[in-house]
Amino acid sequence: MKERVLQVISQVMDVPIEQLTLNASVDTIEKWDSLQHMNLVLALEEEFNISFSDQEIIEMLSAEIIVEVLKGKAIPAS
Amino acid sequence: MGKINFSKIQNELRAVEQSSLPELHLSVLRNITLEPMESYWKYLAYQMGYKAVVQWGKYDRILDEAIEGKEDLFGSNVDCILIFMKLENLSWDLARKFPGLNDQQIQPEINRINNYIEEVLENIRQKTQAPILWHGFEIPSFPVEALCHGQMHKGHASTIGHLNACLQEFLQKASNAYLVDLNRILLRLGYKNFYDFRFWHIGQLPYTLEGLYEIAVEDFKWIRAFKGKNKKCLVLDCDNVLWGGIIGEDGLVGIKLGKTHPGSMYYEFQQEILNLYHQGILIALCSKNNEEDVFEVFEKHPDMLLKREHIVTARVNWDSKTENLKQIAQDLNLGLDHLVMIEDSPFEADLIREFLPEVEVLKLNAEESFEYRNILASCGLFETLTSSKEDKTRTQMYQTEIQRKEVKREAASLEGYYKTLEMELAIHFVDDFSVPRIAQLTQRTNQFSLTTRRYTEFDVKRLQGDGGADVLYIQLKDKFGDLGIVGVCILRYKDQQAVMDTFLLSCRVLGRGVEKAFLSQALCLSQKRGCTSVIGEYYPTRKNVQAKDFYPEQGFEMIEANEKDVLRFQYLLNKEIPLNLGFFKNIDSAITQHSEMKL
Repeated sequence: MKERVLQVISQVMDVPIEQLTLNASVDTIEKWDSLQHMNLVLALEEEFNISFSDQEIIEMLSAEIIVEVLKGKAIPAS
Repeated sequence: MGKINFSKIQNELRAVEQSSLPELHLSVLRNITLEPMESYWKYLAYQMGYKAVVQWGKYDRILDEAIEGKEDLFGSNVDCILIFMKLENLSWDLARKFPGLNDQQIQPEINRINNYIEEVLENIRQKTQAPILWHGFEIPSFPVEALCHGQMHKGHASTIGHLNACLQEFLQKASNAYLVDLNRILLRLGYKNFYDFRFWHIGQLPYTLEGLYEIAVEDFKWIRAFKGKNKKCLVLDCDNVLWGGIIGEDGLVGIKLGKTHPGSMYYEFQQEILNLYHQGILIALCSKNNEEDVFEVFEKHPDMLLKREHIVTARVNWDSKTENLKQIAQDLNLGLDHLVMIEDSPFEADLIREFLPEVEVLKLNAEESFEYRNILASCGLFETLTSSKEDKTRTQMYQTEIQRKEVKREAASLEGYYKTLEMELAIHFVDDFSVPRIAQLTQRTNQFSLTTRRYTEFDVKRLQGDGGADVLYIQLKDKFGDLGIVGVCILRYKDQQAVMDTFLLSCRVLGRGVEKAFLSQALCLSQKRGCTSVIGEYYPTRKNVQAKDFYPEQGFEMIEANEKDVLRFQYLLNKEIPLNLGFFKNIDSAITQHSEMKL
C-alpha cells in the first residue's frame, strides 16, 4: 500500500518515484500546495476506492500520515 | 467515479503537453475553486485534437478581471471564456437565508446581481468577441419552505429560476454568449454525486470529480460546435444495432424490434436516430450483410421507424468496413472526421479505430441494448449552434447530389453534363431569412473556404449593418432540385480597397463553375462600391488545400506570403470584370442590376 501511495503522489506532484520516501510532505515537495493537495486527495480516493473525512483531508499532509490514515480505514499495509 | 481515471489522465496529459497539436485557449473566471477540472478540459480537448491551454482568473475576482482585461485572459487567441459564478459566493442572502428576507429586500438583491452580470459581460465584450459559456445558477435541491412556497412565484427555487432567465437575456444581448445549464447536470447525476461538501468547506470546491467531469463534457459540446468540429453523418451497422438478432439467420419475423421488450430497446433507439435526421444529420448504412435482406426489413417490418428515404447512402455488402466508410465519405463529399460509426462488434470497432482514426466510433454493447438510446442521446457529437431551413431537407439534397454524380459519370463530356443540369444561380445581399443559414455555412464549411472565419448570426447581422461591409450569398437550383443557400462572400471596404473577409462554397456545389461566377459578382460589386482593388486571402487549414490556388487561377497576383503560410493576393479593378457566365441557364444577380452602388 505504501508503494501505491507513493505512486499516486509521484503522479500528482510530478516527482520521480525514486525520489519519494515516507518523508515526502508539504514541506519537501515544492508543488504540494493547497490546490495540488485537493488533486492528491481525489486521486487517492480513486486509487483506494475510499472516502476521507474533512478532518482527515486537512491533516494528511505527508506520505507517512496518509499511510496511517489508510491503515485506519482497514487498507492492508502490504 | 466516472469512466475516466483522474490520476491516469494527468499522466497521459503530460505527453500531450509535448505534442504539436493546435492550441485551444480557455479562460476561466470564477468565484469558486475549480482547478481539478483543468485535467478534464485538457483531456476532452485532446480527444478533439487540441492541446488546451487554461488561464485561470483570480479567485472571486470576476468583475475585476473583466475590467482589468489582461491579455492572457482576453487576448485575441482566446477560444472560449468560461464563467462560474456560484450564487452562494455572490449572494449569501438569496442562496442561503431566503426566509429571512422580505419582498423589499429580495428585489434589490436581484437587481444588484443583474447589474453585476451585465457589467461583467459589457466589460468582456469591450475586449473580445470570443464565445462565452456562462454556467447558470443551481436550483437548490432542498429549497427553504419548499412545501408552502413551492407553488408560489416568489418561492426560493423560482426566484433562482428567475435569475437564470435574466441571465439568459443578458447573454443573448452580449451575443455569442451561452448559458450552460448546471441543473441539467445535477439532474443527471443527482445531488449526492454532484456535490462534495468536504471540499466546499475546506477549499470552496463545490463539485465531486464526477460532477466536474460532467460539466467539462457539457462545456465541450459547445466548444466542439464553436470550432466547427461537430459531426455531420451517422453511419449505422444493422444487425444488433437497428434490431436485435441477425437478419440473415433470424429472418424478418425473428429479429427483435417492436413496442415491447426486447424490441422496444431498438425501437426507441431508432426514434433517437430519426430525431437526429430531423436536425439535419445524414444517416448512412454500413453493414456486412446481403443488401436485399436489410432493405426487406426497411420496407416490410411494421415497427421499423427508419425508412429507406431517411438513408442518404448505403454500403451493405461483404467488403471491409474501412473501405465502405471511405466510400461513404466520398459519396457525400465529407471528411472522414465528419462521420460517426455506430458499431456493436468489438472487432470491427477496433479495426476502424486502428485504420481510420478520424472516424469517431460509438461502440455499443449488444448485451446492454437498453443503453443504446442513452449513448446516442448523450454523446453531444452532432450539436450545432444554429439551425436552418436547409437542415430539414439536407438528406434529399445529398441524395440528388448522388444522382447528379451518376448522370455525370454517364455524360460524355463535363461541359455537356453541366449544360444538361440547367443550373440557375441567384446572388443576393443578406436578409433576415438568410442570416441563420449564412452563419451556419461559416461554421460548417471546411473544404472550399478561403479564410475559415466562423460567424454567429449576430456577427452576420452586425457586419451588414455597419456600413463598411457587404454580406452576399448565392442560391443554386438545377433540374434535380433546389440546393438552397450554398455560398457566402463577405467583403470589407477600407480606403477604396475591398478585402474578401470570407469566401466559401458548400462542398456540394464545387466544380460547376459556381465559384468563378460568384467571385466575378463580388469583384463587380467592389468596383461599383468605388474600390480600386480587391484583396483575397488564403488561410491554410488541414482541410482547405483545394482552395489554395483559387485566387491566382482567377487572375489575382500574390503580394504576400507570411511565415504562417497565409497568402495574400490582389486584383486590380481598373478593367472590365469578366462575368464568367459558365454553363448557367440563368444568373439572377442583385449586383449587376444596378450600374452604380456607392457606399
